[in-house]
Amino acid sequence: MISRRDFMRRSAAGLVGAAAAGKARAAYVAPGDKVRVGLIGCGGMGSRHLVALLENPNCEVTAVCDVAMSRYHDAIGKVKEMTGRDVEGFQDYRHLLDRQDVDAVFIATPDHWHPLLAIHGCEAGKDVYVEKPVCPTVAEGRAMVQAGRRFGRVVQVGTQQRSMPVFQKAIEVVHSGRIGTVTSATAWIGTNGWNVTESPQPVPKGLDWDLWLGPAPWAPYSPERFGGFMGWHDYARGGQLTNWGVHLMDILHWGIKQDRPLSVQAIGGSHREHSGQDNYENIEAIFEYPGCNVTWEQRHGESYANKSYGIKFQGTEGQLLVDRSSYVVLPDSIGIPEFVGEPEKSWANPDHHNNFFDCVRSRRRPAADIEQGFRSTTAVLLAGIALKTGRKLHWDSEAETFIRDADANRYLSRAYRAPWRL
Amino acid sequence: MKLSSTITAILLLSALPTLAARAESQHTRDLVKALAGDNESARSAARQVLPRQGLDAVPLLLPLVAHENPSVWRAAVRVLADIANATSIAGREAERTELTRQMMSLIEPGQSAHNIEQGLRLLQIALAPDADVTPIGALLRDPVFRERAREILVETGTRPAAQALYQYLPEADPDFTCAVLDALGQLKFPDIEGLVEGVLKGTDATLSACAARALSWTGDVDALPAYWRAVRLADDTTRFETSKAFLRLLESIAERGGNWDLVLYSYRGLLAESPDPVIRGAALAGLGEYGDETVIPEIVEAVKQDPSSYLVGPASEALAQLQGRAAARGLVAVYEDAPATLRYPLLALLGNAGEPSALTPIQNALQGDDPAGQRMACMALADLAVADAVSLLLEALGSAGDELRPHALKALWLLADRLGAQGVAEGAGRAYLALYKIVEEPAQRDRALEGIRRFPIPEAYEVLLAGLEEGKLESLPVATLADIAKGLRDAGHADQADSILDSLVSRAQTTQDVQALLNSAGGLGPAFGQRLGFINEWMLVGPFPWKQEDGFTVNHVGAPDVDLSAKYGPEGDQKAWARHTAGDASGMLNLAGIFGMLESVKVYGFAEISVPEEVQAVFRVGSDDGIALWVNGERIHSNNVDRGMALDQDAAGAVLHAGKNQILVQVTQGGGGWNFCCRVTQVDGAPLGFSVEQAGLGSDRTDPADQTDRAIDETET
Repeated sequence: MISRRDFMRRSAAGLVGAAAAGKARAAYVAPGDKVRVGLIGCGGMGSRHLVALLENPNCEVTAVCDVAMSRYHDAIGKVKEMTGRDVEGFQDYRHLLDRQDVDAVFIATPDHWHPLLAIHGCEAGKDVYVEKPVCPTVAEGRAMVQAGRRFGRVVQVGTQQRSMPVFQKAIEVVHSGRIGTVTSATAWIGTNGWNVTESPQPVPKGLDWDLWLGPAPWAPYSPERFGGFMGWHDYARGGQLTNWGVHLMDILHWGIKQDRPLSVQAIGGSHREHSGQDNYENIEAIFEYPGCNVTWEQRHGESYANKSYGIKFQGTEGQLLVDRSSYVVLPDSIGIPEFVGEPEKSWANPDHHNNFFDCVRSRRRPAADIEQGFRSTTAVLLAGIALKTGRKLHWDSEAETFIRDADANRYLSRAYRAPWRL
Repeated sequence: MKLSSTITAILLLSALPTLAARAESQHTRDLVKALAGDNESARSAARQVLPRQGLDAVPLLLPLVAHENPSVWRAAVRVLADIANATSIAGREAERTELTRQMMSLIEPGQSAHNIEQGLRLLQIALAPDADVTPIGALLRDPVFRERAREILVETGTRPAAQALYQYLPEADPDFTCAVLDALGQLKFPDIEGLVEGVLKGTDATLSACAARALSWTGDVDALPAYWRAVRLADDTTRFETSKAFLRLLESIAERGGNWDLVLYSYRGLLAESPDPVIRGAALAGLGEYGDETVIPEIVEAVKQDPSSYLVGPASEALAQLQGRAAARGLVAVYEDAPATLRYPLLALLGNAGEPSALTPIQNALQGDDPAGQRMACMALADLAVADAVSLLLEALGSAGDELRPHALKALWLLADRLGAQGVAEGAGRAYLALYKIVEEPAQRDRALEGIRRFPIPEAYEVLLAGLEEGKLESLPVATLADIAKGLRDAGHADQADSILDSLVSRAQTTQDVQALLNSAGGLGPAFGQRLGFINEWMLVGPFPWKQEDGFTVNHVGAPDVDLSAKYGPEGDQKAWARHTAGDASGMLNLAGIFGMLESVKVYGFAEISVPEEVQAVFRVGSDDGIALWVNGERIHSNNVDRGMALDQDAAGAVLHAGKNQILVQVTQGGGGWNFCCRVTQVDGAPLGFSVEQAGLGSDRTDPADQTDRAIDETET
């Protein structure tokens, strides 16, 4: 195994990729074996994953990692509490990737780290479960897909709605033709709530702030950045637009059987004393898809059919509205009763986890494969770019560039702070 | 016009924009003042409007970038960014140039770190493709700002930005050289090949790896020898990065096309030479991505030679990339000889191969003694989606233990759905029928029944009928069962369909139920309609002139003592009662068909029905256009409306006496279609049993002594 000294030397020399790749490959996971999991990111979403993983008989958590020592210590304690086992914790994910007893990594960090961690996970021979949104820019998402394919890894995205029966059944209805041909669809959610104010402070003890920033531009530590990263364009590109937007557009894509928009335009505004935000409170976007118009509505108190978020498929004969609790089909004369699903117990969905573990063993494509998650993420990223540029943008989904708009194309990739690189 | 007048006019015209600009400037100043003030609401409003002021606002906004209040400087930066985005379109090049010039002031020597940071972010947007980036390039030589300058130049992505980085490269210290090379690689700067190749061929392994990355996008076949050299000379710390760069180069070459053999040769070389299993795995994946079925044996052989089994994953990915029937046959051919670890993913691939001969190895795995193989085979059968797979899965279910059973059941569901989606109706029907017999949970039974409805087979009829007789299907919606009957009828099993519909009549309590039964009724005639409560036989008289404001009246037909032998109207154009019967089960009388396509007319319809005892009934009518309804002489409903007809549009209650009851309707016609239907139900919506009396000439109600013409009284509305 690579020594820590070697490791640091390589980093200093600029070889910061999966530094230990080639020596850290995971063992083969046979169909009956438990998948050994390393968790990277033990904060809000990561801690939810941890509990679900510890309750899951199909896997065993063997290592945890977080740039904040207190968080990975808490995670170690949680493993001990729930299983009686001792696991090792790390501040630097590369040590976790070094381990032979990690078959797969769960990535639950802030968005700006998703691409590199997923790619480095693949390069270390691990299968990868990565949270949504897949990536802050289109170029990074494509690089993630390429890494997964290049190294032959299973890469599942945390768009767990794909594994929830309420959405599966709703999509069955949409695809059955009972509401006719779907010619328009809407995804909606409430407003952004993240403010961009900050109070720079000394870096708390036990937090590797430079590593938290990683490929993002350097900035002084502030609790607002650390705890409210979704409000900052350097770490997450759109607040709810990319947070919930990926979940909702993912289902919308599934329903309309299209995931490549032809064009997008958007407006937005923060009209309640939040003029300085990176992300607007309210955002409206309109997409053209082949055969279907799509709208994104991010508004105060938005609600359809008593659903404060969701997706509406409008067909020529009726409509279907769905969220995580239920779906309804209107008008009643179509004759499809409301379906109420099991209450969502956790954002860390065991069925979605198990689909991933099944695929780690069988090498099948998972229910939320990286290509699909990337395309769902791409849609909302394009809306964010349309919002910034203030103009209608036409999308070439093959080249993954805007058509005849080199300036808008600048937003499709970002520079990584050295020594990080894609 | 005199010359002096012309000059004056020109001067006035030229002054207009200036005056306009001054007017805008005052407005702009007010907005900027609001942006920089203490009122957050005013700042929000100004932030929304200010971008529209364009260049006019920029000199006023730039100083605010250094404002001590973060809300102010952030708002100013956002507005400036919006202006930069707005000017980055064709036709605004001059504004963009001027904007860039002014924004450059933020990064001038002596500016604060804060201003430089914000200035760089804004310039990343504002810089035109050919804009001079010298001031940003100068920051590359500043140890504090060089990294941010590098990042901004990369994100700007213009050729001058790449040139600035390229020109700086020789000056970069060793620690920063890789970062600059990465930047040039990301920018795909075409002129760096000579320089980078020099570095690539050098002795510094780290720099060589960086150079390999920076060049990998080129897809330059001629660079292959240098890459081979770099990979072979790499040490433990650089081998992976160098090899990864090599992989990227191969992908670039493949994407450019025309050198497939060279690419495959290189992958084979990496597979043979690399000590790193991750790189060997990537080489395997590359063989699958760019090769054809001929690579299958060597991929399988590589897995055989890998004691760690790590290559199973990449090999699976490689094999999954191979398309076409020849590849599918190749997978079938290697299955039995493949290592056990690879057979599991191979089963999944065989399932998706679309190759009939794949059934045999899958069947062997299903009938083997390896539980994992059996599980995988179940899913492979579901994927293969051929009708023969149904029997195999049912056989497996018959002998499956607790461990295999849920997998086989899940596979059978998937198989049923997929066969259905492919239109393999008989197979899907058999699968759903089997599932219906197996599952016990109500929702699952409903789902299976829905499948049976869509893909009915004769065997399903026996099960359904038995279920109906045993009362096991009472929980199922009438509409669902009616749909099943329709499916059977469509499949040529009319007798069975009729039997099911018969059993459903008494349960049809809603309009949707009745509609579903009608949809499934096929050739069943009015008699079936009467069982659903439709009055099918009517005596009609008309048409009579009518206007919508006339409303409804009954006096002229003598209700309650309607004389069916009476005639109405002037001599030569008298209207007499005549019997008409609905043509099918729907109970609809097409008045336009009987009387012609008329406008502004009405007809009367009369019927007699008998019930054995007094009962509270509900009359449900549909009409095109309006309708009024009298029961035993009492008007219970009227709806003077212009509409198309639908089932059960209106409803009204009435008590029916034991014995005969008279029903009279008036149906109006404004224009277009003209028809009606009338259904009698119990209060709970279930059809009411009644018999239709043969009212008409010769009936007890006809009074031969009173066959005089009657005047039409239009007073009642």
